Amino acid sequence: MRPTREVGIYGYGAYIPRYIIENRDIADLWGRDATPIKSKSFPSYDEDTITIAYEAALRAIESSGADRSLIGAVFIGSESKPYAVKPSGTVVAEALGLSRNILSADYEFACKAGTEAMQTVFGLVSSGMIRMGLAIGADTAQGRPGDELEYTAAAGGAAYIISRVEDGVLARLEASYTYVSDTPDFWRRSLEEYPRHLYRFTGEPAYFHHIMSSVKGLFDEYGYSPSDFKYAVFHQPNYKFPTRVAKKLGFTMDQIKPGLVVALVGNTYSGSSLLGLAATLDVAQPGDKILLASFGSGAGSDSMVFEVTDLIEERRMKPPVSKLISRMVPGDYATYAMFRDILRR
Amino acid sequence: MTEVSDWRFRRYRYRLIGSRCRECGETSYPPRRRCARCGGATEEYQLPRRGRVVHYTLLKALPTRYNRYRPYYLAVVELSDGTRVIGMLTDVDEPSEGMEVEATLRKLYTYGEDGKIIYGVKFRPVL
Repeated sequence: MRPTREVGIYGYGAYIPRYIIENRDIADLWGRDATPIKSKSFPSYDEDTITIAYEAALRAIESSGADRSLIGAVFIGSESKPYAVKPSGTVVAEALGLSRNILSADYEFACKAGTEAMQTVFGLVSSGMIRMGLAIGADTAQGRPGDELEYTAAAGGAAYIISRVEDGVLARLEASYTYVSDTPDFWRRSLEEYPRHLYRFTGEPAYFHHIMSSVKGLFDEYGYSPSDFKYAVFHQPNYKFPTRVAKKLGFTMDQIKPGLVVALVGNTYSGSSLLGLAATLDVAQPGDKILLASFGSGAGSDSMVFEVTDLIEERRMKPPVSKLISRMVPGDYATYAMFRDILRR
Repeated sequence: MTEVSDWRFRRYRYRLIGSRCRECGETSYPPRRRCARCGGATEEYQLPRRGRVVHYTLLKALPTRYNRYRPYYLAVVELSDGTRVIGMLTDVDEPSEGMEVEATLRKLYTYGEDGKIIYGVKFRPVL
């Protein structure tokens, strides 16, 4: 897909809660050996998807100097909305002091909801319906105690301010592609607290098939190859999947390394690939091309190509993702359980 | 507070919007209709987000709606424009006087399992 009028990223921001729990601590508790990553973030007792979305969006606005009055949409992609019914975006918009003449909705497509929000804002900005828009991916992902997901389901998010290229962007969107199919690898039924998944089904038929199809579709339609890109970011449910899909598609470790934050942060679901993109933008230079490929269970993948512009230096997020990670402090399982509301007084 | 009055104050809760005296320039948060110093008329004023902890105390005995959030540190924060405000601290193990903090949005409390979630400004160490 290519918008008729060129659009891109005006500003970006990310947020990760302060607390991490070591995978080792979880594995020891349940008597298992599996430690798919080193540690994962978890939200403080007073954080949820709304506060994470706010933090990321605030950082995007403050770091880029975007005029709040020009923002005409707030879409939040998440699978952990604080309210089943009541939009998250209205709280975030009000707290950020945005106009009340804005479009707002919560998006759900498992881990792909954040890039889905971006695609929507690309279209709205390109059509001229709005001048700028905020697309946010944020989650406080749930993993049932003892389940495989408990090792990786993390909290965090990233926000992107999308504008037309003529308004000045730090990265220009060259093209995007999307691929979806009815694939039941992971789901959470209404009113259920925790999601379920079909174990090994989450690999080949879900993650790999959809990301490979969307990236290959993008390459076939627009004539790209892996060597065109300085960096690539793939959805990061664990460390193994993004490194393996990168290799299968012909990308090197050097290309994916800057955006690969999952080993310490965990899988931030709707925030995952967007957080990886933020970490990559933190180090990208003008002229660099970046491939972003998300994945959402259920299932689908959005692929996007960005070219970084000269404005990157002045618009970089402050502080960078690396600083958000280095400030994190470990918490034990009891603190995790209390903050996650698994343990209550 | 009720779910309705919480809603009425959301503007000030979410964004550190205080007041400034049209006569003497005194600022305050939460906003006041008349200036505490000279009694003059006031106007809305957006306070800066950054400041320093001046005093703090640990609160343990709190209304039941804070059950999930107690104990917490309450602090007097001097914002970068000199305005002193009282606010909750978060993401802090042990505060210290002079600690640099910035305002963020966090959950303040909830009305039970099915009631509203009330959000508002808290201060945390500068990122």
